[in-house]
Amino acid sequence: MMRRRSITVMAATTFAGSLVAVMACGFVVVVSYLLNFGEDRLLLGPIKATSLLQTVVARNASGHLALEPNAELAAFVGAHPKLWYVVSDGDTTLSHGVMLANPGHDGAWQGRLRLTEFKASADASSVEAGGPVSVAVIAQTRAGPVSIEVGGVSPLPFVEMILYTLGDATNLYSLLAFILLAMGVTHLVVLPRLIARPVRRVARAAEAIDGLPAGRQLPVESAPKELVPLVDSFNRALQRIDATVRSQRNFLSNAAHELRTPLTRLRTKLEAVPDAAQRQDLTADVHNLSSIVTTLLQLARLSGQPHAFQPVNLVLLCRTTVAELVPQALADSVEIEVTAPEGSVVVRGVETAIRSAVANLVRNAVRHAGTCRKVAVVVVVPGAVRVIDHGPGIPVAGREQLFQPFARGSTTDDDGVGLGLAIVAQVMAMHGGLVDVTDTPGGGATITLGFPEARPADHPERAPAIASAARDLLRTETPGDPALHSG
Amino acid sequence: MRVLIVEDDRELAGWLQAAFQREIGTADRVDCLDAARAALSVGRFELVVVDRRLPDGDGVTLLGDLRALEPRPATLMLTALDDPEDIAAALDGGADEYVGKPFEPVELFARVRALLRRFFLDRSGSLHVGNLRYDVAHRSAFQGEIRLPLPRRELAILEILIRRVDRVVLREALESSVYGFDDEIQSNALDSHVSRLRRRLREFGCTAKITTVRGVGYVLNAQ
Repeated sequence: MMRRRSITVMAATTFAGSLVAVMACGFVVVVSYLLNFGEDRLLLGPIKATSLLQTVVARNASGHLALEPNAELAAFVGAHPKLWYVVSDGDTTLSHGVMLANPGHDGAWQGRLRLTEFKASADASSVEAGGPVSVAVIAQTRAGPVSIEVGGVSPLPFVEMILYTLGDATNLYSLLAFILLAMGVTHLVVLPRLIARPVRRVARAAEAIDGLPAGRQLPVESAPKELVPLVDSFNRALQRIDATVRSQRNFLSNAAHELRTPLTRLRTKLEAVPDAAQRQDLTADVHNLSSIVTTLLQLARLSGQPHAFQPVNLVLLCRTTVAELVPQALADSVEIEVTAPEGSVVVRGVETAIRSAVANLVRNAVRHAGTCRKVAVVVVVPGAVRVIDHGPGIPVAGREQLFQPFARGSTTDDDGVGLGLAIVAQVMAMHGGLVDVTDTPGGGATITLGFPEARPADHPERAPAIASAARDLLRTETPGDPALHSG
Repeated sequence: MRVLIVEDDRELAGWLQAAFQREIGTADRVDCLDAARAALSVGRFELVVVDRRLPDGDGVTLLGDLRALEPRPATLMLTALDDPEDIAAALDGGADEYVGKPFEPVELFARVRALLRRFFLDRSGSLHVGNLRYDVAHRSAFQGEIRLPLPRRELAILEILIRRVDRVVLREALESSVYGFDDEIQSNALDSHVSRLRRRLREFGCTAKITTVRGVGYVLNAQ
């Protein structure tokens, strides 16, 4: 799988990269300054020597000024063969090496310098001769203020020079580290959020649009400038979907009207047919045609329109659907009974679609009720509806094709047009559910609609697992029967 | 009883007019919404039969005008549109009954009669089912001239069933109107009330019959 590019990561990397580049440039500038500008770099050696001396100045037992040489000083002395120094507190003067004649140095500085203030002096010739520059300082030591004069230090090696310069500014370092940390946090944490937040906001707004856009749009005003083109084209797409849905709805209404009006006219004209038997025949034909029209329109509506999935209570749905069908069933002297657990059984789906599936099954069952004249509708936890009749049943061989449009059960009556079950299959496919046909114990057909338990619309990647769970549920209850997949 | 038929299909309108004349009462027909409004402004109708797709608009828009009339006529939508949303729009708009085309003439008139029974009391202020008469004002049921001795709850059940004659009334709808909030409802209390009511109707020779739809509710109809 290709790694998806992340704007926030790219932005953070770019910023971090530029930060590093800026710092590197700064470093180069500092280094080249050290290397190329003035005498300052020549001063570093003598200054280092001074500070080394400063740490070793002490007083001996008799109270005289003395040096307590350490390894660092020894190493420094070893590395600079021409090194000379003079340390004095006025009474005692300690010295080392050969003090070069220095025309700029007249000793007049003594007593005028403040503590830790350096006075440097060098002449051009001595600089060219290897860079001995002398510095003089009155420094605070363990032995009190002393004057230290140092010279004859060779230029420090490059690395040592850098290290010494850098090693001298701990406070600056902590400040720098703090600034770096702050920038790092800004670039790696805050910045990505700043970028991602408006994107998420737009995504949430898009998420809130369910299966039925119907005039809904993403808010352009609250979208950041960069996302406006995306939001605009998304909105235009929504408008196009709306227009398509509207035109399809119009088409279906037109079709319904155009097909049913002549059928109605035909039906009313049949009232005038004098021969009762013939009238009955023709009326049955009109019924057939009319139910084909109805189911074709339902199929078109199911497959052609976007749907909003919502929680649907199967118990209430079955009871109200049956309530509507009871008068007709009673007229045909068929009893319908609903059995449901206490409370509600909720699945996610499109109520009108599930209602039409259940109604189709119940009508079908009433039509094939057989001599028992009883139909049972059972709501099963966690989400299934079972419609049971005691009619002739459905042979195993014919079950697959039962759910194809225009297939028909092997019954002899002309009433069942076989489109009803195609609608049932379509509805269940839409819900990621299953239709299962089994034999009713003692004769008849039992058709079960199994709905997925969770929310397939929210977790599309989980849908197959749920569907197979539903299949298992159906299988355990009817062992040995082939479970039909509706899709 | 005067009926207004709003239908633009000339042939069908002609048939409807003749059939309503025969089955219900005087029937007038118009073919568009404007004509319907004109007719309603000059005549008083007890029943208006409206198509959805009319040359000058949707029949649903007429429902608003009908609601404003006093007394309000019963409305029946007779239409080829069967999209659940269309049906909901019509019922929400105030249609009392919705019959799809093509219809069975027998069923159409059965529904019309049931609608009229629900909608209009006869001159004595009563509802009729079979030979059972329910006096709405005095809250009492009669078979012929004999007043049925019904306790309060059975009477309440009967009233709800008779107001929705030929339609299933859900259990909870009955329970909520028969029992108060404070009443403790035993799970089979409603069943026993209904079976006592049913026995009483039988004893008095009523031809109205209560059918139990198990798991759903009850329906009252004439035998």
